[in-house]
Amino acid sequence: MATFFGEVLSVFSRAVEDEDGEELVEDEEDEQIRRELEEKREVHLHWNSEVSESLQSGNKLQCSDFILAVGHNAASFLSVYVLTSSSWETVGHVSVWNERTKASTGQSSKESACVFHRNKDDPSVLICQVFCYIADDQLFQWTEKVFACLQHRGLNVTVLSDCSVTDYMTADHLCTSSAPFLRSLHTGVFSGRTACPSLEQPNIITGLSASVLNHCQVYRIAAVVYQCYSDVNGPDSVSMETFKPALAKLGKSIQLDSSPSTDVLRKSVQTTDIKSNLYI
Amino acid sequence: MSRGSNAGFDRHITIFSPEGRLYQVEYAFKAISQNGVTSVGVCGKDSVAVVTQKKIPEKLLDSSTVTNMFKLTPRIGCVMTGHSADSRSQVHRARVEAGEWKYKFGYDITADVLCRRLADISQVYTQNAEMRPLGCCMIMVSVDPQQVPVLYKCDPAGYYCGFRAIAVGAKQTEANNYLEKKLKKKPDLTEDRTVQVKSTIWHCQQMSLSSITVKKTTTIVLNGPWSNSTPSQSSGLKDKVKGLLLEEWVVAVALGKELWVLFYTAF
Repeated sequence: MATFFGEVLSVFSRAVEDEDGEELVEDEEDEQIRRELEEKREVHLHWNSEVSESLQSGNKLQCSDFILAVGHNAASFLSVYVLTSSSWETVGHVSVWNERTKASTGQSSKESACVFHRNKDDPSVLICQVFCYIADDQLFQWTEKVFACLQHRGLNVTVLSDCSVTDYMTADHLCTSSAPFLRSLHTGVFSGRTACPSLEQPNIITGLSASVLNHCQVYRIAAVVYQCYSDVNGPDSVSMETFKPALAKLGKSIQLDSSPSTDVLRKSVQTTDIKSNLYI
Repeated sequence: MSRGSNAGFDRHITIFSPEGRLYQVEYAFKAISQNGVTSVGVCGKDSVAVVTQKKIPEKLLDSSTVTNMFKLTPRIGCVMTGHSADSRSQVHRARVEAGEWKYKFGYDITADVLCRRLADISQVYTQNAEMRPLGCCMIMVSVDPQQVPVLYKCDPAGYYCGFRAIAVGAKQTEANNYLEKKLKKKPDLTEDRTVQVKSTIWHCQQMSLSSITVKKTTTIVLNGPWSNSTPSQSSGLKDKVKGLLLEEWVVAVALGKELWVLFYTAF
């Protein structure tokens, strides 16, 4: 099937004979497993005491800039270039479990998979790093719960995310030789200029970035997503550097470390677990 | 395109990268999940069952000619997940190996030996520069009069192992997780329980927003008496299964002392 944009999708016939089949009668054991898994897959937000007190008394987090980094390169970019200075404190984390979140050598505990940081000098800037994979059924929960804690007025959201250049569709095949590169998408109320060209059709953004962008568009929050298309699968320092122009606009509130320490860089590009039994 | 610590050529052929990885073989694993199909196999104490999905990409296609379940010997069957052309090549090779064994030694090859042979062949593809690894994974099932039913998986890396239950394909992580929980509770599966592999598939459908939409699922209940059925009763079995079976599933069941491969296709 060819879509409006000219891409060819393989779709599967849903021609079914609608017989009067029985509904699945699950036995108790299956139900119990399903319930346990559903409970485990719930997304939970944990804030530090100061923030949770303020939230409980009904005040949302006063935030003018929310920066979300989805994916290893984006999140490590923030770790290496922004969070090395001492003016950032951890204010909370999200615990999210799905079948793909196995404890890898990089992350020692669940807390480090999805963390919130706030600038002590300028508490209106909030950073969130998401290292872990968030499953399709958890995206909505994550977005709703996080944005329920932030006040929407005057909020600017910047999302940094990774993608593989093999997913990038373009008529000009030579442009992929310039990988890694940035592309952006923003909501209707976003008024600034983006640091890179807009994402061309028929490419789309998926996952947590899409969920957040969607939420912001619906609730009329100014948001922009910067997607980095990288030719290397896995953490890579050159791809991380590509994000620099995205945060340059926020220069007042976010100081980018011009010469990151090699130790931090090395730790962040350590190979994550390889999902196959090839090396058993 | 070559950045990082390699000169790029190790991504094109199977030689080691500086970190000791074989990129081509890793990519072969990704190729298995490309078409979005998941297969699940469960082994009990007296039977073994595998279930897979069937994708019918066009309405004009004659679905009875499409299958990814194959019989290798009278006692060994398999389900292939991944590239269908590579799958057929591997099945053909398996049949040739089984035939040669029978010719040389005068008795049927057993599943573990056949699986090891295929795994050895897959390993060669991870070394030879001229042959790429196959983008498919085989789940092999067998019952033998002298042995218990077995379930083996053989993957492009040349790794093979026997399993009590295994899932391969796009949703394998979720399915394996579910199977682990299921087997923890009931470690010894009898015949009717092995076919509760359907609950795993149903669970995967609920969990994921996969590209196939399956409207309903049914319980496949196979009770004890059929394990001793003669072939003349097989048509009755087929009818019973037909009444219960979900569209798009193809089920193969190894029952009792003989391997019956029921190629039930629902369209």
